[in-house]
Amino acid sequence: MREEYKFSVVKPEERYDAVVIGGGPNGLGIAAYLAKAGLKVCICEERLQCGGGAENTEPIPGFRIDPHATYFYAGASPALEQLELFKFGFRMRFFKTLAGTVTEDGKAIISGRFNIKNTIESIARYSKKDAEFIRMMYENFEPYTRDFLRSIFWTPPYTDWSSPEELPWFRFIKEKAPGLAVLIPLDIAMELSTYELLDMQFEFEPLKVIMGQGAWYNGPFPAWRGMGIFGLATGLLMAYSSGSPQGGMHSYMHALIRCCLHYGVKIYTNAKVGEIIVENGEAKGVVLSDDSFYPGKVILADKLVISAIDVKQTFLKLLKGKHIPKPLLQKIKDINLHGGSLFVLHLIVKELPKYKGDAEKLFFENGNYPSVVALPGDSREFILNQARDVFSLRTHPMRRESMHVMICCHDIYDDTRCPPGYHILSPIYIQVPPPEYHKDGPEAVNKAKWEIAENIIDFIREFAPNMTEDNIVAKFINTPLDSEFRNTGFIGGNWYAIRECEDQWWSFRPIPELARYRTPIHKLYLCHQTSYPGGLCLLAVPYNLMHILIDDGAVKKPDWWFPSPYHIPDKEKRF
Amino acid sequence: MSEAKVWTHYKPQEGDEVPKEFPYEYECDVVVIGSGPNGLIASAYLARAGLKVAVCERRYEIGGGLATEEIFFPGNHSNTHAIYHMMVDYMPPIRDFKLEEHGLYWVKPNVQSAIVFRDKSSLIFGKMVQDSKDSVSKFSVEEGERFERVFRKWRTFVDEILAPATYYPTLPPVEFVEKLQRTNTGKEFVEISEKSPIELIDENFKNEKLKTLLTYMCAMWGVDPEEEGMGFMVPLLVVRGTQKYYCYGGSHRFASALGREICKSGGLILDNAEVTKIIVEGGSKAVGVELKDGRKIFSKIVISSLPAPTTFFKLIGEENLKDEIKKEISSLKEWKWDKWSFFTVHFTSKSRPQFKSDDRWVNDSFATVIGFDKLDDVLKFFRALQENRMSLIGGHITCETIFDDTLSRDGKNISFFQMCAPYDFDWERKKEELQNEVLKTLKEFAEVEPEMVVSETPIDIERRLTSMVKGSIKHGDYTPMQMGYFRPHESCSSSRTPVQNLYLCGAGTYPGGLIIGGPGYICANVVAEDLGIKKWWSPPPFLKKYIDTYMKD
Repeated sequence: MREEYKFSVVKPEERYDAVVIGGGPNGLGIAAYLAKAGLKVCICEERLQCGGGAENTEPIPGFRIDPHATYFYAGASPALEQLELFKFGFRMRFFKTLAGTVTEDGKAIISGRFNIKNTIESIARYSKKDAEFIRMMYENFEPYTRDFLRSIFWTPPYTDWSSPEELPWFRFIKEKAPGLAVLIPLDIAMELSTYELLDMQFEFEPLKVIMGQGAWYNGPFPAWRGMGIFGLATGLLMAYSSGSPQGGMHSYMHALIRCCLHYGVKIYTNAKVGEIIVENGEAKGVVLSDDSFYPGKVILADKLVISAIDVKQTFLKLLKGKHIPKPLLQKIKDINLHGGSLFVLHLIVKELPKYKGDAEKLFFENGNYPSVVALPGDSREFILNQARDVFSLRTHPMRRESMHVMICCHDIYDDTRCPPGYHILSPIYIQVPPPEYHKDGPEAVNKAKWEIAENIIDFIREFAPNMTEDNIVAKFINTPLDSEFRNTGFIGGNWYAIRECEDQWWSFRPIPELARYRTPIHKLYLCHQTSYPGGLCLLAVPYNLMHILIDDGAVKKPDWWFPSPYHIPDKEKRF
Repeated sequence: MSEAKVWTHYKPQEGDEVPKEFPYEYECDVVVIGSGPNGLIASAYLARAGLKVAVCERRYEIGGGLATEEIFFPGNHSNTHAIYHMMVDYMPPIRDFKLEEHGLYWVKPNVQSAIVFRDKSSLIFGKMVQDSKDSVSKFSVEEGERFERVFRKWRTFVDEILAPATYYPTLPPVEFVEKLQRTNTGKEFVEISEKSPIELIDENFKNEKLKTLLTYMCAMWGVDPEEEGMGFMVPLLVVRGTQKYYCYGGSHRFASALGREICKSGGLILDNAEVTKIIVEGGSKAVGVELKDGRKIFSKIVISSLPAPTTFFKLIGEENLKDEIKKEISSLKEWKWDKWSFFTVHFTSKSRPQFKSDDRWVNDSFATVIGFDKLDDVLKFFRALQENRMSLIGGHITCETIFDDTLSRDGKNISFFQMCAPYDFDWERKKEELQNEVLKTLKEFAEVEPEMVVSETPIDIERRLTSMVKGSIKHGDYTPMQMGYFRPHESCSSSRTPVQNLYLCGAGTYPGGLIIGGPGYICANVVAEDLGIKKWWSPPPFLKKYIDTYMKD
């Protein structure tokens, strides 16, 4: 019998309870929540694969690089419990030593929650006082970490507060860990920068360099006032989780995707949304764009349309600038992208960098090699110079005095990532201006990309002489433009899409009008890192949004649901 | 101490406050080793049948040869392994699961295969036989007529026997031949089966150019054109070679759609989960697997999609098997890996390759063969490969973006040139030289300006997909002694093995590889029968007819 494959399922229109635009961590997260709560959900993802910035890719056989997200920060997330990701294959690789730094004069320190003894010893060689302080903090406050982090990140921001004491993290400290209040003077803490907070407690500069630099890569620049607590808290998120999912961040997404599928979520890839359908001020669904797998396909949503893409594209592209007053639209246009555009280099090497000085011995003792090394550890001046290049001079840092590099290597703790006999230094990063702000035009970094890469490698070689051309097997780069090209949600190539400064944080993120994830369009909600609390794949935006959806009656409170103890429902809904 | 031993990840101790992970010990009904097409198909059927299935995959993505990778980093993808899907018209899972529900769509290009010669003459095979006949008729009207007649005969062999046989366990050769005598088609099919591919092609056709293309179409998949007893593969590879599909969105999407079915039915997929051991009790009963990260999964049934030698000698270990089983399967030690593998040069270009030929349709072809001017070139080339040499630069080209606009984010054209190549070769030193020769040959035959170029050798194939030992894309050679009832061994070609509760479902098992889905489908059926569970699916009409005609006593 002659057989011929026939198209049998061709539906120009489908209907769900909820449509989620974008299959990144936040889109998948909210889809999983809604489906588990009993809604019929469809995700429309533009790319070949879901996962957004939490992706791994294998440009040459057997070697897997991390183009974006590389660390797991979500260890404290209530979503892991509520969605039970462990049932869907979620596995971790906990790193014995998370971070380290090396100075020009050969000092070296390490730090790791699971290597606390060696951490303290490595610091004690240079500063007894700092080592003692870390020990004290670890012994007294480790048990409070999870709930402290939840109070900051896993609580929907609220707009009506008059004194810092009303903020969840201060409420947490006062109620649960009053000891901390002695260390952090609550009344002024909200005003300070990460560096200022660090200066109050520590004396050893390399320790402050690494914590400050961590803050920048996680979001807030360490010298930005008003962001100190958050800068340190992002570092704490990283230290608390202290690892990466087995196989890389994308495998975390796989667990989330499989959770979605288990609860019946329909996932379409190559399904770029061209338009959100709005009728009478109410979101009704989406239409797939002409460059999707099914141009013009209509996906209707009876209850919810969730935009899990950035706020700018949501309003400017998908709503075509309509349905809100022009001045409000202007405010959205003006949201600042500066601050997190990364130049990312990936090196496949035969030997790990062997840093000179104290690191030579320290790093190669059992379990001490840091999964991320900050270079150089000497002084924050290098970081401040780099920031000045990027923010003020609007150029990519090439000068020796503005070189400060983070070098990650995960395969030492995760043998799934490359064949034996090799290591993958991925990602290695410096900060550069977002393309549209670069003084030499948007293409400037792309044009200079190999020159920038060589400059970085030369710089690393000063500290680790074995980083020769012979040692390097392959090089890959993604610039901010490349990052945006691959994931359009990284607007400006910014890893948290929009700047995490005090004017775009907490109840001001992305703009105060949209801080509670609601939009002026009925049934349309935001669920992306452009909302609070930004990036890092925390599953915090979906968790926070669930509070609002339950408050609004869009979702019936499921029996497995538990809210943030600090959540304050709105007395009066703004949107 | 080696570096790898110095750093190991921290295993959480009791009392550590860390996120809950997938447990170190887990129990289920069926554990499947490997998530290639066959592993996924077997899993999806059994999961929907209500069994608790866990699939373990060594790589970071499921799919095995169904791989679409971002080899042009950043942003542009290519299908690094499977791309020509020859059995979409038949493959039961595609219909049984309605995979289109997951946005899985197939594209069947109008022009399927073409060959261009140095004198710019060309020949095309279309998905519609009339187009092929028209093209052959360029050389002679009688040859065109002959082609149509033979092709239609061969198509009958495929429709009535070869295609359905792909999805049903086979019989010992004597018994099978006996059953085939029941119909005229069966009798005729038996006659051609004994021959070598080249004999069969020679006796049917006269035109040298036609024979060149036909012979290449068989040999490219690892069938030695001069090997007797392989004639039966010719109708299959020629007929299905003109009915190839492209998986829209990249071949990985097929895997992804099957994976979704598994999850939907409550199955578990573990990636980055290399199985290092099959746990066997009493030397004869499989009870589960051990993973590289120390986790253990216990199950009633273990299905391995890896090659039989890997399954028995590496994952179980001979020392863990009873003597009689050890003896029974000892001939698997002589298992022959694929005679040749692939060397592939992937490249991007602004405009798509334009061939220097007398037929513009060639430019739309799914696969275009270049480098062989006469039949003897093909025969010599494949003889030389068996001595680990390449006598010329010749292979097939596909421009993937003709059929799939999703692979490139910036509208680039993405193509590859693929040639059969030996595994035992000084790839490290000669890869670049060979790549340059390929690019030179490419420019000789087509107008094309490659921009980014990425080559993958048989070593790379093995590194990406370790089950493809020595670059064996089919998990083992296609020779009469390794085909049919003997694939991989007479004791386990039905997917059952001498080890209780252990089943095989990979390309190394009957009927073989090339994303035909046969081993996976057969395995699902056999396991369901052995467990006595109700099948929610039933054989498609073409298969039912075959069973009724030939397989019933």
